[in-house]
Amino acid sequence: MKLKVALDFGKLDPERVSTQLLPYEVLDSHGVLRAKGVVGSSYTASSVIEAEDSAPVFVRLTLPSGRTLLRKVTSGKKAELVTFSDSSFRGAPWYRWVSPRVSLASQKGVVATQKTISLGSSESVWVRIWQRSESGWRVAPLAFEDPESSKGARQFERQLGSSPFMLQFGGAKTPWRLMSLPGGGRVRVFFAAKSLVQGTEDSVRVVVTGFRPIAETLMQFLKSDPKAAAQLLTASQELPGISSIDSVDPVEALAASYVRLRVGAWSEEQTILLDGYCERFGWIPDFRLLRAITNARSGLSSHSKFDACVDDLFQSIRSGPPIFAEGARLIREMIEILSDIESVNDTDELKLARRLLRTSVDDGVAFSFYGADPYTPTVRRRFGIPEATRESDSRKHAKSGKRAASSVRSWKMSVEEARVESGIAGHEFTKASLPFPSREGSQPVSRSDGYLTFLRDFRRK
Amino acid sequence: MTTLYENLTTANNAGIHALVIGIAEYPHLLNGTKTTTKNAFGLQQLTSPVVSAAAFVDWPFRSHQGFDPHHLNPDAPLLSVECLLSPKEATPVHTPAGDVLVERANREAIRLAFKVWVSRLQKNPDNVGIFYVAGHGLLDTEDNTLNILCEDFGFDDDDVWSGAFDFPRTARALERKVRGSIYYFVDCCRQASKKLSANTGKPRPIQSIEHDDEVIHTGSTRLYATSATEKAYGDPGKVSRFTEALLLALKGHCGERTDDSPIWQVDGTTLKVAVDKLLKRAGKSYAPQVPKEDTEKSPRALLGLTQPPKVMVEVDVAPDRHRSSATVYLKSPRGTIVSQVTSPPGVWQTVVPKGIYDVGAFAINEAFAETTMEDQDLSPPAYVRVLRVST
Repeated sequence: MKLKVALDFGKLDPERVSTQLLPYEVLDSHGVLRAKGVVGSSYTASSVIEAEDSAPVFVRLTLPSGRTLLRKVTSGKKAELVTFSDSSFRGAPWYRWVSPRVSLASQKGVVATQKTISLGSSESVWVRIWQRSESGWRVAPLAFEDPESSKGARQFERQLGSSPFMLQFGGAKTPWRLMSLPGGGRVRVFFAAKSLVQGTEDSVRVVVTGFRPIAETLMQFLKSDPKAAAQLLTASQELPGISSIDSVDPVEALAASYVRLRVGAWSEEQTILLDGYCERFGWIPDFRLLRAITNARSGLSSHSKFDACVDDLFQSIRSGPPIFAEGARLIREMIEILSDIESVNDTDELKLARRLLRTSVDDGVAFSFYGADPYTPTVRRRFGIPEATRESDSRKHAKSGKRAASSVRSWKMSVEEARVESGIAGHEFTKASLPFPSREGSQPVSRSDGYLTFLRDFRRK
Repeated sequence: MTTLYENLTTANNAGIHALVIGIAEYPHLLNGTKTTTKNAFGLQQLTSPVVSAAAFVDWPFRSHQGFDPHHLNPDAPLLSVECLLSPKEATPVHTPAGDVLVERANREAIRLAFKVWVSRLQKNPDNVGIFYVAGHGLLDTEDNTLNILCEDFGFDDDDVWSGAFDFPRTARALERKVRGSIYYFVDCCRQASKKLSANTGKPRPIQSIEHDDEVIHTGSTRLYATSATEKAYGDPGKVSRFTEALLLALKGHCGERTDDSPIWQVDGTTLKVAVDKLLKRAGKSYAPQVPKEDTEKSPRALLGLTQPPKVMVEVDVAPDRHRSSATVYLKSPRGTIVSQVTSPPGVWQTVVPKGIYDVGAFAINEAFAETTMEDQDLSPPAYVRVLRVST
């Protein structure tokens, strides 16, 4: 029997942000794997299985969130088409792209569009964006577009240049977190209250897409099932109509490199490619981190290899945290390898790497950590709005020299500008200060700088 | 060191080599039998690790037809088992050759046993190693490194770490020493101590990393009992929650089979999924314990089972007033009733082979309409559902 498997995920996700490739398995009634493959949004996959008798077979599609969809196929025909659609996915249409990535709770009323824009009954969340330039990290203009909101959820988009970016958010109940954003293109950021998303420890769950569904699906599967990620990677290079993963998009190339390294599919060709990526996309810290690891794994048998490896690691750490959480594994490996070498162990770079690891959050595919700013990963979690802890931050920065000074400047600038932009009187946030309109009658929001708050009736006590 | 089992005739062939360590008694920790170290970090005596390690070491020796070294994996027979235990009172371990009292797990004994285990693994590139350890673990918050405390921890207050070892760097060193695959099962707390961060120095790995050497291993899986900074639990004198879940998974509650092989294979990812679900299922009334898995490259399958994996099924009928008149069943896609019960007093529990089933209930007295959930994917280790019926 020839089984054709198709995805119909485009109706509610016309931009096909949610996913383009998903692994499927064909099982018999005993759960024995009869065939497996990869299906794409714009590609119908096919598997040929031997139809022994009239026994049915089952096609199981696995979503990045871990959720599976099962379809029964009664054999007897020579060919059968099985289509998986997104019609059963939860969520309002504008955030249904999130549904394959995280498990959304079924809550009556949550999906309905609301005028209120709170993330919870008493929660408030502020957000800002940091950008890395040659002079260091600075708070970047927010310039959000296409904002959407409903009860328990918010979303906005923004264009990012080719440099490291970090999203920072926090609130009265949300510890301050920084999350890497993939630069070099458009990003969409989705915030959801804990009540909306299952399996979230913090009170807010953030999901980011850089509109690179293949790369993002690869990284999600790499977390839960590396073998499936390897299968997807192979398929992504073979499917017609989908660009090769080795194309010039740096984030896709990065995801492919991570998968190959993790599953032991690294080759000499990849090493050559990686040299090119390091050269061409020097603003992505992950590439140098990958090259440091591949060097270390090949044996640091000469001074020059050792120096090159350490240099790559240090340059990577200096230029910012990795884009993907997978980078944390590599940082850990490098620390384990180098920590008994005194000349490396006591360096500022390795200390910062350790702080990043200690504070990193295992939540999603983006690298994220708890911290006051990109320079200050902190184990002790902070809550509230930025100015409440500004002074204590300054003291910390004062101890750590030049870099600290630049971050303090950024910090003060952000706070002061936020006051102007948001019309904050003292520490009060008024309804008029809200930068986000509700979904009804929504207008594009463009702000020059500062941070935004999501809750209109927030009061500092 | 105590060798519980060694197959000398096929020692150079590919197979499984296990090193199992359980440490419950720490003489220099609180309430110990010797002088308490000033670096006790508030840690007490334990009981569960030795019971857990003994249960773990018993697992490869047991099969339905007595001991058969091939019963875990037809392609990789059991070739050796090395064991070290530190109980409060002498605890014999059951082996195919009879009960054995094993050497205690101080650092030097662990180092020597480790050396022997590694040399065995090095004999064949297709070997599969098992490293199981249960005892006190302390997270070094600076590096997020797990330090495992040996029995003699605290013996020398001037060198507090002389009785401990750095686990991640030990495992990292083996990537450059062993070509085969290694499965690490670490049943230890991963909590940090505030006093630890103020302490100077770090424990050494059992095996140092040779920086000049290239990584040669096929792959490895590290399965931790709990997440970083969290506790691992065990009732006093009983097998710990993690080891209990791990053993249940290993004893036929996980596995995947492809059409071209009669063998159900168990690898790290499969095991993690099963252990995670089993811990959640067992821990409904306890503090949550989430195991963490880290698989590097593509390790060879740990187990190859000839029988399909089993699924523990729990089906409840709601509202519960209809239980007494209900017949609950599991039906195969061909329409055969595989298992059923009439008038279950509570949640119906049964065990069936992995597969796709219809799950349903009908009323003896037509108190409610027959209700069926079709094409339910009963994947190991467990399937739990509430069947809502209506009149």
